[in-house]
Order: sequence, then C-alpha cells, then structure tokens
Amino acid sequence: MRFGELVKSLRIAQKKTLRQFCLEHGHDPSNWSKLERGINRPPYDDRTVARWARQLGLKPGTEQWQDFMDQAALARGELPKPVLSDEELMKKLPVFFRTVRGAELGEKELQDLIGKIKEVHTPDEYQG
Amino acid sequence: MSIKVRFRDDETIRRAADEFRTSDDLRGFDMPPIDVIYVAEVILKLDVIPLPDLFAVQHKDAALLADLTGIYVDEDAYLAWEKENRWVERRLRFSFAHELAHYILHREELIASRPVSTAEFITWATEQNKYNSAEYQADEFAGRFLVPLDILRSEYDTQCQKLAPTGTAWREIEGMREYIAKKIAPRFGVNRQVIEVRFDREGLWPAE
Repeated sequence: MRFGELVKSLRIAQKKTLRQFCLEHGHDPSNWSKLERGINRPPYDDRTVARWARQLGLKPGTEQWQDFMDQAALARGELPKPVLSDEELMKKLPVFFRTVRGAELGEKELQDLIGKIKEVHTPDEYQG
Repeated sequence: MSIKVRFRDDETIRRAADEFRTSDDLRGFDMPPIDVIYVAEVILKLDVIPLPDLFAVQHKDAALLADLTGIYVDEDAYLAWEKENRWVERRLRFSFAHELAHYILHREELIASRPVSTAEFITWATEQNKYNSAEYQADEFAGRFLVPLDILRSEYDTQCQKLAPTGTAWREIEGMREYIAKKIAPRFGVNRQVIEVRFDREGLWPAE
C-alpha cells in the first residue's frame, strides 16, 4: 500500500470523512486530499509526519507506527507524480448531464474548469 | 455525443434507493438526516475532491469523476458546511445523493460514454443543457434515498393532526403546502423544495 492510500485507509478506519478529519486537526481539505491520492509527497520533516501518525490513531513504538514512517520515507524518495496525460485527464473530468438554467457554459468556462481539474491532480511542486 | 440512459420507471428507481439505504453496508447510517458524505467517503470509499469554482461555473455543488473513483465538491460549499451553514449543508446533501444516484444507477452508461478528448468533452458539456431522463432518475433516487416514504408519511400525518382542529380545509390555505414542507424538511436535512417534490411524487399532496 502506498503512503497516500495508507493515510486514507487510517482515516477511514477512524470512520471520519475528509471534512471531519481536517476540521479536527486543522488541515486544508484540498491539500490533504492531494496527499491521500498520492499527488503530493509527504514532507521531509519527521516531526510533521509523526504528528500525522498520531492524528491517524497510531501509537509510537508499534509496528504500524514504524510502517507509517517507513512508507512516508519511501514516498518522499519517489519521483513526483507526473502531470496528467490526456488519457488520464479524460478519466478525471466531471460527468455533467446538464447545465443549470442560466449557467450555460462556453468554451472558455470549460477550459478554465479543465485547468482547475488539472491543478487538483497535479503536485504542488509543479505549480507556481 | 451525449449520455443516454435506459428507461427506468419510478418504482424501479425508488426500489433501488430503498435497497441501497437499507443495505447492510449502511446499517446505522440509514436514518435521516442521512450523512451522504460519510456514505460516499467512508462506506463507498470514494475520494471527495474539493474543486474551486465548481458552483460558480457550473451551478453544481458536486460532480462525479468520469472514472467513478470520486466526487468533486465545490470548495466553497464544502467549507460552508464546515462552518455549519445549514442552507448549504442541505443543498449539498441533496447534490451528493444525486451524484451517488448516478454512481449506482448509471455506471454502465457512464463507462460507455466517457469522452475521449477535451474537445469532445467541451462539445458534450455545452450540449447538456436540458433536463433529461438521467437527471430525472438521479433526482428521484436522491429524493427517495434521503426522504424515506414511511417517515415522510409519519411526519406529514403529525402535521395533519396538529392542523385538524383548525378545520378540514386547511390544505386549501394559500402557502400551506410550502409551510408544512418547511416544517418537515429539517427532519431529513434537506431544503423545503425537496419535500414539496416528495409530496408530489409520492402522491401525498400533489402540486396544483
């Protein structure tokens, strides 16, 4: 299991939604979502990762704790996730069955939306 | 191109919503107001991805990802829920239930209709400007999922009993339908309009 998946599974094991977890621990939901989806890598600061481990219900000195720290170290060493290919982007587009009356979309609005979708699937380190 | 879904009658849609709500997976989370975000994230393990300006651009609070791995949620609405903005919370609850309806009812159609280029997506999105059967089906599923008929009927009966002493014609009073819907809506965590639609569709108090 990759680090982001591990983080998500631990949060879900606590039966907390992204919103609840972030509210409780002062995280930004957008950033935490990127971490869980493996878009952003964990920080090099071990103290931050240890704090996250505690927030996710792990206890220092346990095998789970060590596994969490090891997975974080591995994830830090990985190459950053590449920018979405066109094929991957197609899978991440939103499904719109209709526009709401008064919100008919033009090409510019849709291109802007596609840009925002790319951003939420792109590592922060690639963004200006 | 457009996403065409096969015809499903009301009873089929309502049965699907009831079955989903009463499934083993949702045990303990099946009573209104239903926490649909919990259902999506913790039970179905979907990613919930905050997306800036989804509502501003599309007038939608939520949208399913084409690969069915998650749901985009308007970032502002998501934060407003955190700040206990009840009106937004109720709107978002219905929007999420609507997207879950597409996830449950329309999987096959969605997988078969995924756009293959951004140009096709743009053509497709700009064409989707009519209320179609996919939307009707998702609304009906979401309504029945969030507002179980037996509880709606019970709430309605309670209001009827309270108003009975005022005379038999209370239902004819202008604005009464809206008033009762507003009284009942908080029980289900939805906005008043959702209850008015359920009154109509469930035959409890048809719209004029």
